[in-house]
Amino acid sequence: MRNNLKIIFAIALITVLMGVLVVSSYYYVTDTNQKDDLTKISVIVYGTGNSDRWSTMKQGLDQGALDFDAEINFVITTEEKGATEQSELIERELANGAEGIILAAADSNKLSAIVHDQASSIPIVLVETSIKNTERLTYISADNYSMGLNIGRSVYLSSEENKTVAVFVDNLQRNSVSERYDGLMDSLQYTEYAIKPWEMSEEDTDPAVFLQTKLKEDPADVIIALDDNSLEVVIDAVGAVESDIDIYGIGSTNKIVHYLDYGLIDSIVFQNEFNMGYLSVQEIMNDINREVKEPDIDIEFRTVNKATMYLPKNQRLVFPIVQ
Amino acid sequence: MKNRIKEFLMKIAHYSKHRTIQFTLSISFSIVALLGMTFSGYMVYSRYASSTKELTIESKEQLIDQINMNLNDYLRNMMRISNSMYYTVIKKTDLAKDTLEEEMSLLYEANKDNLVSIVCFQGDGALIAATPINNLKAGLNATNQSWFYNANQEIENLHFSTPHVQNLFNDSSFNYHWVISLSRVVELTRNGNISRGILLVDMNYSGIEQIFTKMNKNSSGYVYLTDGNGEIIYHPKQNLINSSLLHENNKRAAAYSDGTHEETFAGKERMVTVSTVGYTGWKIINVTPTNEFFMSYNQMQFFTGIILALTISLIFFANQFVSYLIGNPIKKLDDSVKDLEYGKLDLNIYVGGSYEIRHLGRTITSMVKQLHELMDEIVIEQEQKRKSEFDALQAQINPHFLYNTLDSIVWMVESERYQEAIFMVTALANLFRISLSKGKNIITIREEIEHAQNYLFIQKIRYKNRFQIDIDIDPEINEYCTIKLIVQPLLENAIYHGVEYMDGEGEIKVRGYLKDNDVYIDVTDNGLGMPEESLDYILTDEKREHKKGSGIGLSNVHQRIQLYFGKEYGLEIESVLDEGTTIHIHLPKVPYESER
Repeated sequence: MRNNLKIIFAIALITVLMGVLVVSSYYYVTDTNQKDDLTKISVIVYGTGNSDRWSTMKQGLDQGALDFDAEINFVITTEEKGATEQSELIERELANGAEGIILAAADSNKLSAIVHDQASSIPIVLVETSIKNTERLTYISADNYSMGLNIGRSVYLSSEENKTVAVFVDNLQRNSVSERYDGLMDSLQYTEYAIKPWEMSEEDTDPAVFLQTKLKEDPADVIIALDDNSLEVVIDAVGAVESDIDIYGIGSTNKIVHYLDYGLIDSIVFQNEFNMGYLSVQEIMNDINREVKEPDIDIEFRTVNKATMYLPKNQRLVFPIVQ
Repeated sequence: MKNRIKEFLMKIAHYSKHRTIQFTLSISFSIVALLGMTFSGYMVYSRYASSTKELTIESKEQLIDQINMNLNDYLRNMMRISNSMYYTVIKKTDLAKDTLEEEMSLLYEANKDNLVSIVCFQGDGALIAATPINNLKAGLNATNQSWFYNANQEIENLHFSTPHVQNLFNDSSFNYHWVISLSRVVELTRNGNISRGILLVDMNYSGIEQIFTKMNKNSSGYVYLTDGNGEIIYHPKQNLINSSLLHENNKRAAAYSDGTHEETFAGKERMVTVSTVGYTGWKIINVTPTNEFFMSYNQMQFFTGIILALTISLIFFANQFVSYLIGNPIKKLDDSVKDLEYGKLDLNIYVGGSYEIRHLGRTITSMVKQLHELMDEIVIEQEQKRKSEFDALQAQINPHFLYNTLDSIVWMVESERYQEAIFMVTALANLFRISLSKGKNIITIREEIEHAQNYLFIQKIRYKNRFQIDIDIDPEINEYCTIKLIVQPLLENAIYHGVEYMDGEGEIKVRGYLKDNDVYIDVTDNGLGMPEESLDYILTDEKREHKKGSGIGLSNVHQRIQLYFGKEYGLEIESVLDEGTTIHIHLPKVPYESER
């Protein structure tokens, strides 16, 4: 009886051992194969369909996707203020099986509800522009207030006193822009400049027309734009009316860099959007893999002008190498 | 904590004291096998690892040589362009009469895959010729740019720059080119006068990138390129490095000599292979993280591990089996011997296992057999001893009675009571016939009572009916066994000590009955009784002085019963002074038939 028990015990032990081996081999092999399964991350940004605006961030996203085994689906809205469209896109991407969402919000208020609703079920990282009440969500951006301060400071450093400074106020629905605006206003408040916020009214549908009219009717010495799109609109408008107004702005699209190089723009402040893209993928993957999530990440920003843009340390960021 | 350790050590000591042969064998076999397997596994694995490492190093060096060759081709190609531009075009052209543009364009067209532009400047930075675009940016001062400056510093050399964004020409397409500049000082001829100029060949950075990208795709680890000072020219994750998200050990690696080095960077061990590119002094650096290098053999490692685990477990079971084969017979033999120790009688000593153990088993078996025989002999001897004691006691009884009776007959003849003497002799004859019982010591109770009646008959004559007899025997007990002549001595005791001195009032009762499944025969008299203190020794003290009779009495009966039936049987005496005595004979209930 005892011998029988021993034999049964031995057989059971061998069976368990073999079972463990088979199961672990199976998981090992499937685990090795799983490396081909990429995590689907949807990146939803605002824009005017002009993908050049996000090209640097896209490079960061692609590098991140490569390093962290992710697959990026990059979705851009058809207009700058497309909050509704973005809500729909979030839902569409979730329905399409996105495992994480990176969002550059078109409107910090309007998107608040949907982002908070979805954040409990799926990792969401906010880039460039956050939404209201972002606790629990990682927000990756340069310090927008400081960027505003810095663009104000560069105006102050390179312009004479008693100038008229126009600020093209657009896209304030994004808290990134509104914070830059606050920073700019704080930096200019103790100067002698006459400050004119140029804000479009309900009737103004086309910002280019609005700006051209303003430039003609309400001349200023300096104009400041606070985001890429506004800065490009300013460039176009100034070019169209052949004004010799000094342009300052925040942004770094190819067009902006080109006009900085050619002297139309005096100075720009731009953030390292490559980092923004790369780190956002990293954070999403950390969240999915239940690793420690960073709180909000401040990325670097720089102020450059025509003279400093080609300095080795700057040109690497102004002209990212396309790999 | 101390106590716990102590307890633990005690436990180990306990186990080591009580370990079985099987346990010792299996543990020591397993440890030896485990050590052997681990050692050989380690040896095989380390041999495998070191040879793969050598192979990897070799393949990395080959890879780097390959890249070095490709890069050399690429750079030579650029130098060839620069050379042919200088020696076949610029040297032969008098700029006062002719331009460089046509030849320059031809050269550019032939190599435009790798080139961004070919430009020739005067020593003061003024443009002489450029292709494909010759529209310099307004206000541009070429002399400030590093390639211009470096060429002027060492005029006899060709200078390769690190990658930078070309900042020379107007380009309305927002395109900016990352280039590597090859610049040199050239002699410009104008109307026979020679002046210094700078020839710039801007190579497309993507040309270098392509060489590396292709190689980086095919291998584990990665390859990057620095200039002689360790400034990165190409890195597969250049943007990450530019953004400070990633750090590279480029400054140190550029200082390494050519060959393979091991280093620890950012807490990770890695293998670094360095090769210097001819002329430029650039360094091609291959990095293979050691863990990644071993990771690529993960599968191999895993299956080695599985095979090792499987072998070890099989060996473990084999050990268990072998030690079972060896140890189990010994254990069984030990169990048998233990049973022997505990006095189990119907013992079957285990005989099995290997020759030695079988031999041991057989020897113990024969020893046990001898032991049993010896024990049986002792039992028989004891039995015989007991029997002879019994017989001796029994032998005392007959003369005792005979003496008494003959004494009575003598007394009768003396007093001339011949008729009574005749009766008495007849009764005596009867008594002897029964008492002989054909030589048996064990008779039925019926016979014993008959015998007692014959005796009473004789005594009644002798004492002239001075006492009354009342015999009441349960018929049920008649056929049970008793030793002969046990009632008669009690009657004699009752007559002599109880009723002899009572005149016609003596009364003796004999009662036989069953109680608690045992047989009792009580002899009761109403004589003087015995003092309490004499009750204690009357059954044991043989040397007691007998005043009357043969001196053989109660203790003889008591001992005989105990000798024959066991200590729990025998006589019990109850006596009250001046009232009488009752002696209980306690016997087992043994049917006469079965006793026979």
